[in-house]
Amino acid sequence: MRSFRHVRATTVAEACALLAEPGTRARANAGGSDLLGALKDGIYPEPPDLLVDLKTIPGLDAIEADEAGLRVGALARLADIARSEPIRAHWPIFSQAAQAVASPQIRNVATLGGNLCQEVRCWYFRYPAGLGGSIDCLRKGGPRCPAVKGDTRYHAIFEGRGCFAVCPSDTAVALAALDAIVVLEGPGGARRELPVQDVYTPLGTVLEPGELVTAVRVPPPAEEARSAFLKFTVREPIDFAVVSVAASITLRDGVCTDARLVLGAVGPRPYRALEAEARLIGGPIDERAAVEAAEVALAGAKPLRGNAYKVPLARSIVMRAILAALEG
Amino acid sequence: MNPPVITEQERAQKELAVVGKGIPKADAGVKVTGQAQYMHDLELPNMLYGKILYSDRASARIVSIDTSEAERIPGVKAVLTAYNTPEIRFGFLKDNMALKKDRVRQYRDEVAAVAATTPELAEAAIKAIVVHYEDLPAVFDPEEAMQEGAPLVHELNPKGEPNKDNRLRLPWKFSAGDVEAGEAASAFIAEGEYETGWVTHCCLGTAGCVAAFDPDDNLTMYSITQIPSLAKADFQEAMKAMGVRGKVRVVLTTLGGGFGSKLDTYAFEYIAMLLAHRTKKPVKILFDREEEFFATSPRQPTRIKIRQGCDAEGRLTFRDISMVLDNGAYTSWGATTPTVMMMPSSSLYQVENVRFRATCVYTNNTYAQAMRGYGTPQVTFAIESNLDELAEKAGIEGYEFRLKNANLPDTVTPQGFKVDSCGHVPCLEAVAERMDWAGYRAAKAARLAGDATGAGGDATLVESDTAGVPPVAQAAWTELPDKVRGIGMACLLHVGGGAKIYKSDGCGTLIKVDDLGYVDVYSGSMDMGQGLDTILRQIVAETLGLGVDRINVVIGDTDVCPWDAGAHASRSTFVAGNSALYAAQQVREQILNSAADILDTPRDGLDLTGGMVVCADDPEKTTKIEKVLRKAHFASAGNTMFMAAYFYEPPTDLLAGDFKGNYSMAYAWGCHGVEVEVDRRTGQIDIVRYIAAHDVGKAINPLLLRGQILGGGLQGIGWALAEEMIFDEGKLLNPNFRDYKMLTALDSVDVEPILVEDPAAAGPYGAKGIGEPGLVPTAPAIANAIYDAVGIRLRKLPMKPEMVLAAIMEAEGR
Repeated sequence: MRSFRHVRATTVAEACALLAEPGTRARANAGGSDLLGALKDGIYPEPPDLLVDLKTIPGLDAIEADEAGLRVGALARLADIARSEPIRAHWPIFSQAAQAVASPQIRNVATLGGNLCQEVRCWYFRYPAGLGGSIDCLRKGGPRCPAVKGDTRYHAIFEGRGCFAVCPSDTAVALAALDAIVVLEGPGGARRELPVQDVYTPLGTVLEPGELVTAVRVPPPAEEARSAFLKFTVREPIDFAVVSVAASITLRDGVCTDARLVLGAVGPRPYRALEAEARLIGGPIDERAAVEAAEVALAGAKPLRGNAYKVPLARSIVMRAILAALEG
Repeated sequence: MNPPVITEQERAQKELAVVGKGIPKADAGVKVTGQAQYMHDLELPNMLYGKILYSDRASARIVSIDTSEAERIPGVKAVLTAYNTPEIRFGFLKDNMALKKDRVRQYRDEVAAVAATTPELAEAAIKAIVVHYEDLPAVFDPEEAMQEGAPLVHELNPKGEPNKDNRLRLPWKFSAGDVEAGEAASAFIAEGEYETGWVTHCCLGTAGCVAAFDPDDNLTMYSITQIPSLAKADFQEAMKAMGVRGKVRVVLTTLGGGFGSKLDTYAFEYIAMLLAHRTKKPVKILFDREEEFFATSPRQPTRIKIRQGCDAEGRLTFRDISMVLDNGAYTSWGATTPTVMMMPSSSLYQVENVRFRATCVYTNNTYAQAMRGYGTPQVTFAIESNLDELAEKAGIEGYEFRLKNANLPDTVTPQGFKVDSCGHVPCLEAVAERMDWAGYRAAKAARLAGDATGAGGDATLVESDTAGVPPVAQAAWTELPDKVRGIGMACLLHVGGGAKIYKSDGCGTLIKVDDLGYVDVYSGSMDMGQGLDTILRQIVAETLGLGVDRINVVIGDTDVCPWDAGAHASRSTFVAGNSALYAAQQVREQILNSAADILDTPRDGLDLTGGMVVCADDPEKTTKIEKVLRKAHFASAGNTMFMAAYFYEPPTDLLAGDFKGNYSMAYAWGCHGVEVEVDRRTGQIDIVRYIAAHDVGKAINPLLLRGQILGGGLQGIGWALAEEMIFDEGKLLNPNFRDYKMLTALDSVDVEPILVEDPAAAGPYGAKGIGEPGLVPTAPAIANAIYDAVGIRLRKLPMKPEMVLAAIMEAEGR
């Protein structure tokens, strides 16, 4: 691992200023469960020369819930989100998604901000430098994506453009189904708010140099809303999703009045199946409706040559998530 | 020397005190408290850290290597390439070199190496080396590699003669009886093609070594090898190539797992030797996790074609197997696995007419090696899957079909194996009984009958996500339930009494006894976690009538311990166990003879038990063993202490030519039964129940034995359902536990072992080897159960959800 400067920031403003320092390749670090592994593997052609530690910024790990909704600081640890009483009571799929990440050890250090902003897990992007050199790819500024002609079994079936890596975040999927807003702060007090799925682009995130995720806001849930988060993995624990689905359904007098269907690990961002949501709204939710919505949700999928199986798999998980939400 | 014969009567004469007891592993305490010294813990004064530069091409000519910048880094003590070091060739065919010269043939090729005062400096130096390559054509598919005009991975053979093609010239052919006649006599024939890919051992302790030369050029190699004596010979040969006159000593640290990965020496070990000799300092090379995946040698991938036939009654008439193995770019023991695959091919079930051919082919992939089972898991996947297909064609239920053809005691197989003890039928029966095989089948038949009248489904309907949904809605999605169950079984045959795959299958033991009744046992064998040290303690303790706490086992130092062929082929309990047993019996005789003199009583009435010399004729003369030891030692004349040496060589045949003969002293049998639940909507396979019946001869230590069966079963389940090394044109895409889906503790299945004890006449206390069998029949048992559940025959491993779902989609026309 290349040596680097390490600075402990004490305010968001200081962190943003450090990250925007001209002439430096700076990166923010909180739990370190993603960044340090990536540095040890030497995956970056130009590794950072400055790490800005955010853990020393006081108050950025707060979890606050009231009538206005939920506000979670970017430094809140996944373990804390998973066991937070108000989150479990009112936004259960957020808690479940946090609990679905990795292992207890990782959840004890990994933060919400880090889970949202982690690097993709594409094996070409992540190939370690020590084994004959890292692999150049479009996402790292290279000329092309090696996955296109390679092994794409875990790659995108939606919205891939140039790069076909999928967003690996579990919490982003649940948060998208909860209409969550991500708060970004940048140098000079700049601040903006975006729906969680809009944070991602096919080649990374919309974050500008010096910009940080500082919090996530979630509106209060509708009283009749029911939800489910399902994550399909090859092995039980410590695994990234092959496909995940967060479903949130509002039922009034047996009729669906609102729905959110968000698919994870299928594209560069959490994928909202808007047409499938529309199909559910206005009718009763039963198995037939779930099956039809699942068909619609996957209708626009564009699998690569190695991941056609993800379409029926995702369809099954969507259907099950809708039905599981009814139970929830 | 012929081993002393122990009769059954002698064995039965007294109740065993220590053998047969579930004594915890000798090293359990130091391991759980973190005191065990692994390679990771080893540091020597002035030690340097070595690091290897690997190729970034699968096939290329090395145009130039510029090491000048690396050499200038302060703290860097040596930068080596093939151009400034003597050539060290190694491997089964000596086609591999420690550092590659002129040409690279796989991504893991070692192009340069450095030694520096810290690991970080070594890494920096590696990055500073500039290599220019000129790409050459490459070939990654063994069948393409056999085509005419395919790029040659090696233009010359190790003798310097030109190679015509990529096929290895190895004589892996066997035949018995008349396959054509068998085929003509067949009422039913089933054929199939099966494929198994790369899997790796996933040792939790990554590989490494420390090489240290003394001023007289004697080498001490701190090592994690499974073959201390053979590795010593390999290193000694390398010393000759280096022009170094000293002697080699191999010293083992605690191993973090072996599973066959350490059955051959590796380039990194020779590189450490070169670096240590160049710098005159100890040099440590320690793999990180990615390197462990990338630069150790996995299980040999196979493509197997099989045809089997039976007569109208279901008796096997012939078996015809041919296979292609992806050797990778160099040759290690993986290329010899066909000699062991011949065993189940010729001798699992009674079949007279057998043909077996295997071709190993060079490719530009990583080169393969030995892994638990040594080829038998791959070929058993083909045999046992295909056997179910044949049984179905013959209209005979799979369990009945197996019973009809099962091996029996006191038979000689077509390959010439002398089978005495044989637990095949008892293992089959044990699995069938535990799983209520007949009841399960009857219930399914009843459901099928119900289905014909429109009342049921072609599967076991279990609780699923859609349970309780009205049938109309179910029909809208599909006619079939989401989750269906099925059962399957598969059997195994493995060597249980050593295996003569090398010119000696022997093991030596030295034993000495001190004045206080403490015994040191120096065995040539080694322990990689399987518990050999504990087994030897029990065998020696039993023989000398002492508690295991009195027995100290010394292993893993070639300066001290005798020769041994290594920990492989499930041989250690049997071969090292017999060696220790016979050495202990000599000591026992010495003690009893001395005791007869000292106590002035006939030898025949004396026995060693419970720490005492027991005198049956005159109980008052019964005395503590250590009193006899001291009286013998401190006598006024004829002073003696007790010690013995024994080299046990199993009287078996080294197979060559027609590959017929008896190459093990005992054969181990087993049967696994499994119930699976298949999720037709996701391709997920859940193991509902897993039964593993093994013929173990005699359980020296039932606790450790169960551990072997559980561990084998779980490793086999991982192989069957989740694990695979994924390569893209020779480049390993998943050198980590994130993408190499090794199962975790939370995925583990409750494997239920059944121990069938049918003592092996030649085994220590009747024991057979059981190190490998646990994973041999796992994949076919699961594949057979999946077929039973959903009617889909999966012929390629692993059966991961993506593969299972794709197969279901294809079968259902979705």
